[in-house]
Amino acid sequence: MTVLARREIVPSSLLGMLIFVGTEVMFFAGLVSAFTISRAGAARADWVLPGGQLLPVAATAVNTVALAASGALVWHAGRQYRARASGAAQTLLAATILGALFVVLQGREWVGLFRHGVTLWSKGLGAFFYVIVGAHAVHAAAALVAMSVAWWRLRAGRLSPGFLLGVQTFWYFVVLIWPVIYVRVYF
Amino acid sequence: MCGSISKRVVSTAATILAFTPAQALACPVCALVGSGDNTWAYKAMSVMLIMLPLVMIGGAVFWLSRMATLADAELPSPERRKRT
Repeated sequence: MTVLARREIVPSSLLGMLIFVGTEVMFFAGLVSAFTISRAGAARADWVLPGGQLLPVAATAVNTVALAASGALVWHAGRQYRARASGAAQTLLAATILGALFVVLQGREWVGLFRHGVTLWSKGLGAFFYVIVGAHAVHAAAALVAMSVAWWRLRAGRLSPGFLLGVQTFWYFVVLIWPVIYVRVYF
Repeated sequence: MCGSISKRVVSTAATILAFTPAQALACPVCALVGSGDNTWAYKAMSVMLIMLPLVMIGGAVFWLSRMATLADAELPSPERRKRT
């Protein structure tokens, strides 16, 4: 009887997360596609926010920098973890705080727009804005929870390399999909 | 018996076809297709949505096969011979 030895060439957690991220990429591609076609078909005068409001382009650029820095810190934390596991805790915490800052600042902008009458039920741009940016915020919040769990496990000395790889992959997706959304929706 | 069933199937299918619209809209925003710009966006996004999964799956297969090759290269030679 021949026994076939199985070798793990890619961690299962990474492969599973990549498949999940692939489906999420298609989800956002669908949203961006609908946005692009609707925008191209709408008259310029109709593609505005209620009350002549403008999307906060400059403030969101600052938030984008915070998110990008968080992504870089997660990458650095991965390198530190491979060199010496405990050395990555502070970097991972800093990355989580920066990511949380992004979500909080985005939420503050939302509240500002909402007060000026821009809601999910606003025609065209308003509705698309909340759906696309909101879907990204939900993903960012879920990834932040995962990062917090990773940090907690790291502090307790129970963080597995596979879990960290999965969390890193999810956060990279959140960070890398954002510029596409920002450029497409805000400009 | 069989003949009457097939007649019913044909007549039901013909009735359904009679009420079928000339153009089936696959997505809600397709209804907007009409202006030149919109048609261009619709075609571009269709290409993007077709190509994106193919590129992702192709990239994943290429990456996995490369990882498998690298893992094979790291095996000691008798193990490798056994696998090949």
